[in-house]
Amino acid sequence: MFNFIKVGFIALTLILTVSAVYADKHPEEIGNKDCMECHVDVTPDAVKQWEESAHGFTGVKCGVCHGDEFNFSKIPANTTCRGCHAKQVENNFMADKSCAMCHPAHTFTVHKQKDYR
Amino acid sequence: MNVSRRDFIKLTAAASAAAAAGISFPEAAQAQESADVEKWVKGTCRFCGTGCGVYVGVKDGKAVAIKGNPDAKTNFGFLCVKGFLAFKCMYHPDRLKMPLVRQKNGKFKETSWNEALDLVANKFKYLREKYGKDAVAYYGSGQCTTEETYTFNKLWKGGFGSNMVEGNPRLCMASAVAGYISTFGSDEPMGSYSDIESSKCIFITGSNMSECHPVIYRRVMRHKMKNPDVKIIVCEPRRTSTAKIADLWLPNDPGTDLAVFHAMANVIIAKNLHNMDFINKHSRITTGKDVVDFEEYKKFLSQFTPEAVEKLTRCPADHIVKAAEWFATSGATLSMWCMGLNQRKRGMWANNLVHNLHIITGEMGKPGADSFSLTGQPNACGGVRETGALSHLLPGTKPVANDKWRAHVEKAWNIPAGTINPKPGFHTMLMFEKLGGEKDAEKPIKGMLVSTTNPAQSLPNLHKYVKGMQDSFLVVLDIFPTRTTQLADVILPAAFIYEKGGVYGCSERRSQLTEKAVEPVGQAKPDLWIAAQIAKRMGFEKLIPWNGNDSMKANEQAWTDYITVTKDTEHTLWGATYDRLKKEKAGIQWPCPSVDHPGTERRYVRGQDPMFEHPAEKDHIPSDATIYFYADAKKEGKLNLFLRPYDGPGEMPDKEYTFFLTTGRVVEQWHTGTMTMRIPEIARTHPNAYIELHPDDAKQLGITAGDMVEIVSRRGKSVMPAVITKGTLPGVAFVPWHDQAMARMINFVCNDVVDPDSKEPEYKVAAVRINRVSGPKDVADKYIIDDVNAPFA
Repeated sequence: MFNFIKVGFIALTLILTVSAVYADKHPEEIGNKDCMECHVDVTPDAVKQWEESAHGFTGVKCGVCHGDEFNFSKIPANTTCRGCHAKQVENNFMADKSCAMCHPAHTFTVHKQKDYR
Repeated sequence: MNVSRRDFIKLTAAASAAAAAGISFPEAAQAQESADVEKWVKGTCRFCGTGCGVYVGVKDGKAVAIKGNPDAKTNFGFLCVKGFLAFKCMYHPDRLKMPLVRQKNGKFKETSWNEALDLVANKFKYLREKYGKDAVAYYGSGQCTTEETYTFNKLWKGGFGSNMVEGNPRLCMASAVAGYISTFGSDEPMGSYSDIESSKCIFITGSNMSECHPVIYRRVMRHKMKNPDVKIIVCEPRRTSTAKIADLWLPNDPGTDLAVFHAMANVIIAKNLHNMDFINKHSRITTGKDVVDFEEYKKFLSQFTPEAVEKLTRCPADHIVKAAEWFATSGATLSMWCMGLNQRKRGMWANNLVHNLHIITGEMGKPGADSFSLTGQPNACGGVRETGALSHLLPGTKPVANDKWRAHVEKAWNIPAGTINPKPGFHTMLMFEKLGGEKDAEKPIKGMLVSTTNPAQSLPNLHKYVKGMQDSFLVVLDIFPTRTTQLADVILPAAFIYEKGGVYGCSERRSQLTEKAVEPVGQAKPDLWIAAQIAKRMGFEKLIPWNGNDSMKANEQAWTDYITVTKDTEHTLWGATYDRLKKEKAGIQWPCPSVDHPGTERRYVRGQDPMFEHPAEKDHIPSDATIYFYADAKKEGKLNLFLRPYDGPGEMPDKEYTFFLTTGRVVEQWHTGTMTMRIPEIARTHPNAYIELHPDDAKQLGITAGDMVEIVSRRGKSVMPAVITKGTLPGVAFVPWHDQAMARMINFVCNDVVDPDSKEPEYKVAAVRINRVSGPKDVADKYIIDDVNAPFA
């Protein structure tokens, strides 16, 4: 039991450390590659979700939200979402939270504007 | 711990998912709010013809963000990547900041504005005096503001008495203009984007709207998602990303779709799905010369059986039949097209034949039913088409050859009768063909002012036209060094749209005002100021009095002058005063005859179109007419239903040039990439041109993905990497045209044969030979011209 907790604790620490260090840094040099060149292999589920999403259909590709290796953002800032979803961002009742906290990954549920003030 | 590269990415992706679920990320750090912006300034997107409403975020006097305008009727707040990131190119170090004059050693030298403008004005005066009033041409753009285009047009036609006025909409929209005028009698669509949400069948042809009009495509996609029964038909040589939502793909060889449209009409009539009442009431069946009866039209169509057309076009016969049935029976069919129909040797006919389908089915004049041309550029409609800034037009999209209208414009401009030349000037391709140096007696045009466009990259069959630009006195207004500035004698640094303000008019007859948000960089100036300063120096200050330094004030003067000229036409924007445009969050659709009129969503329908009550039209519209095509040149209120014979492209593949080549855009890149290639996030997605080949063709040619491939036509060649995709027909290759690298500029290869009616060149079809030249090379260099003194090489 103790070993299980210990291993779990180490694993969680590792994940959080890695996340903190690389929160806004792409772990690989992107060079001149298109994001999809690697990500169809390494994160196929995310790519599939994106392909079937509104963003996928309308050409809102990886770099639009995540930037490139020089301004990489693992979780897009709300200022990024604001570009297309201004009313939703400005009506966010939890302005201190990231949009991505409630609209995870690439499936993108949407708020209807009529739901807001 | 040995973590491979891929495992590492997987690990961080998992961490990301965990974070998104709320267990690790510092929340506040992710949620930067509007502290980054001091004020938001209303505007319109700089790029395509959709006309997306935007707000430009300003901080410390600089544009720092762009967000969509949720109140805009075009985009409801959504933007594509270009519009969203446009501000990033505004402060690129390559921005042109000072006037530049080429010296005897071939290098450019910075000068003052006074020196540069005096030089331009004096040289133009000299050339006109020595070689005649048509010796200096203007070549503008569907990306200039309406005020700018109107002003240059007025200066040339009303001041110089020359119709040597053209613009790049000749290369993109001229066939749509000719199509609307020949069928409807008046340019631009009957309906609006709002027809998308009311439609039950959408026929998309000659348009990859998912990449070229992504925000309109979003509306189509949302409509289809909410209403799965809505039928989407895509008629294209390529199975584009637009076809992802299609119920039916009608593939066809490039340039052969006239036969497909006729075959659909044939099926509709053969199956008795046509609307005889609408045809009788609202159309005149004509060959273009003679009026014929319905039976003759039916007989003409009978040659276009689906089976015969399949042999000619490779479009499956059963697809043609299904498309015809859906088109005729949906209850609300909307067609949308763009360059695929326009940039063709028979572009006007292709436009006519789509209109035909709507006429024979009566699918127009009601919600969801329209024959709607998408415009490529943000102000091709408002700026160039509506102000008549082509060599054969005057404001109101009316011909210079029309005596009555010419006299009206002369009176409105307060210039002597007979000043405006009744003879059209040269169309774009002829203009560049006739452009050359003073020593070349074969070239009557000796000087040219080019604004906001890049013909030294964008003209087809480019080799033919470079020397003329190089030898002539070429003045270029732009914001960055381009292939065209490399050939210029004088470069005048222009202000970006958000540095000057102005009106853009989009595809749906909607004019929207952009406020000036920030000051121009360096000494860059608005085109309007440049035009007015040249006019002043050439003795036309009375004609163009808006030469002050306040750009919004000058814009307002020019706009008011323009809407006065077209006040009593079906294009009227008389109610769209500058004050009102400033207040309107979503702009105004013409006709808008008075300040209390809301604008017009649908033309030619009583109760919706104010022209039914307007003194200019009211008297000849029957009082019981609910739909009436009052712009009909014969004054019968009818549309022309055309019998157009089949005609293929200018060249077909043969033994030597075995492939069709077609060109187009990709979502991230705009035209010649001068702006978008300077936005890092965009540049990376398509850092170079490439050729798409079908796997069968690639196999036969021994080409694998990434191999370098040579594309050769009768006119030139390009070399670029291959992309193997099933998204095209075998035998059809595709290349995007944004790349500035000389070896990959595909317009050296493209065909410059023009439509005999619209004079638009056939970018969309060329016969080419394709050879593998080597294995893969890294050419993802995001090439841009960053040195004004770099040679055209």
